[in-house]
Amino acid sequence: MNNDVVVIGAGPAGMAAAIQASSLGLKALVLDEQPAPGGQRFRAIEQRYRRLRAAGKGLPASEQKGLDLIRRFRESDTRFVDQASVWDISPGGRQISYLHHGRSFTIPANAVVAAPGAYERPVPLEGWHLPGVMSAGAAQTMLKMSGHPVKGRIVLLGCGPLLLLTARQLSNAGANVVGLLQTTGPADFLRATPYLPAALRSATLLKQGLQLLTQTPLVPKVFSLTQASIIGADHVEGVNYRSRGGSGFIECDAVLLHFGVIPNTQLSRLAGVAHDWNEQQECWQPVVDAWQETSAENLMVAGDGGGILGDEAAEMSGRLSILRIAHRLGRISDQSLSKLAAPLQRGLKRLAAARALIDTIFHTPETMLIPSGDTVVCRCEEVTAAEIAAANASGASGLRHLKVQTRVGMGPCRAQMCSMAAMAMITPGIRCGQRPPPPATVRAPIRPLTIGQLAEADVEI
Amino acid sequence: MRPPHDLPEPPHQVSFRFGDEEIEAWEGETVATALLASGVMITGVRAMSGRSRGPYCLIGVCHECLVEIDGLANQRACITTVRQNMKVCRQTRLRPLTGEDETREQ
Ligand SMILES: Cc1cc2nc3c(=O)[nH]c(=O)nc-3n(C[C@H](O)[C@H](O)[C@H](O)COP(=O)(O)OP(=O)(O)OC[C@H]3O[C@@H](n4cnc5c(N)ncnc54)[C@H](O)[C@@H]3O)c2cc1C
Ligand code: FES
Repeated sequence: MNNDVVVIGAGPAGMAAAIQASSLGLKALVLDEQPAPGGQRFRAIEQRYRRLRAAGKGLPASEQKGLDLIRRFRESDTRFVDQASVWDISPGGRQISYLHHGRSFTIPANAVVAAPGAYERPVPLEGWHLPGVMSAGAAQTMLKMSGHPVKGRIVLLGCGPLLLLTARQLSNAGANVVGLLQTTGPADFLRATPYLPAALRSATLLKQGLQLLTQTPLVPKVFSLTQASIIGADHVEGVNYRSRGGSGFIECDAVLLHFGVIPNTQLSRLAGVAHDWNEQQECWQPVVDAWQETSAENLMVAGDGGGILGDEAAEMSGRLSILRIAHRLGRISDQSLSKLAAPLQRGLKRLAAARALIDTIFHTPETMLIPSGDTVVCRCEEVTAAEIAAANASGASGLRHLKVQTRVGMGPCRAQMCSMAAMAMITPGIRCGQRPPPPATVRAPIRPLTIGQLAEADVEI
Repeated sequence: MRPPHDLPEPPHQVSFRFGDEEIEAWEGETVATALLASGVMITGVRAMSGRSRGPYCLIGVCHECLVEIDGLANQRACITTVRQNMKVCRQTRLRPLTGEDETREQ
């Protein structure tokens, strides 16, 4: 075994962890299924930089810090394997299996920092399965990687900073945005005012937020959206919507949905560590201590995969987890541990305090929480809300029962797209303090794998 | 190894086949982003309902972008990096667990 720590994910959290590890003389192996480091926020930033430079331009200032982070990561003596999809992690995290260029590898791990990040909260709407409907983050990812905005007439729909950011980025790239339908309304801002003082401690965050809210592109806007359905035969043709101010129809070729992001808990659940329901962010997340350590020793979860706090916090939590591991290995003294950790732990507290404001302003409206009728909830197995409601009425209790009765969550995405909505459907009091049932067990492989790849797995001891 | 962002030249363009079409892409981008940028929205058809499907999340989560690449089924187009001359096909069904080169997923 020649790695002190295996890091899964090369986003801000994973990269910061690796840089910290290498500065303390720890050997880190970093695995990410993407072709380059950066994670979601700094996706394809090296390529973008090269394209822009060839055109005589530079990166926007807000992206420069990502390029700097990647540079420090690449220059550290970390071993980075790109295009490596982790498809299994053993209970407690001592063994990791990943697929790399069609071959499977299984490696032992003394310590693990899982930094898999977040994904956008799926909120099933009628017609959301049609080609032409994507998440807003997907449109952003496409712009980052290919340099092209989504084609045709675009409607952005939902809530959250990333929705507004994407609207702005698409407009700047010359996309034809024909509507920005936001669930957010005056009531949300009112409800959030008690959280303003805490957020004032994160001045930059607040400034960025205000910029997002005030510098939206000049496109038709709807606020206090309560309902929407997407129309089309083989692809998107338009959106029907209802808001507190009235209803309408917008003809369009693409609909970009966004309702905030939630932690990607596949790996932490596979590893069998404790999880808890986060009422403020309405999601499950692994339980971690002040060092990002889960209920399994030396298995850390850093970044948005452990709870949504954004990229700055992701870097801090990535570094913290390495400090803990290094201390256990005797690489740093008690004294330097506390000295190095204190500012990071303070920073995390400050960012977490600001988060309450964002989470309260941008939350999925009650009217979209529970899908109904023909809305496809499980996209993989094409299970509708009506089918789930019927199974629930006939006495299915818990997600496992629902699964057996309707096949909801049995497809290749491993219930990542449907479990939140299915959970809300069987927990009617979810907004009044009723705890939803724990998500169904995750089983390996969490990535598509052929039997051949499984049989030929290379085991390194 | 020199980090890619320090390379002096701009990224290269590559091309691959999607069915009968020739698709242009940047080296280092994924099959899904290149397809979408070329205006291809539909990457698969659901066997049971006959409904068309296209990429949704582009970060490897939803598995809506499964395509056949160089003969291998169930590849996520949004995670697979483009290679010159690769052959990509629409996938019309989820492959059952029956053979050597077929997936365990179903
Ligand atoms: C689509 C999307 C777009 C976003 N865009 C922005 C933005 O523009 N600005 C902003 O401030 N915030 C954005 N965010 C929020 C984002 O979560 C944080 O800003 C930040 O990127 C979190 O850092 P992280 O290191 O925790 O995770 P991430 O940056 O998400 O990095 C996680 C990495 O882990 C890898 N990974 C996950 N699972 C596996 C596996 N099984 N095997 C191998 N690798 C794996 C992923 O490929 C990814 O590269 C976005 C989030 C999403 C989901
Ligand atoms: S588009 Fe979601 S997994 Fe590829």
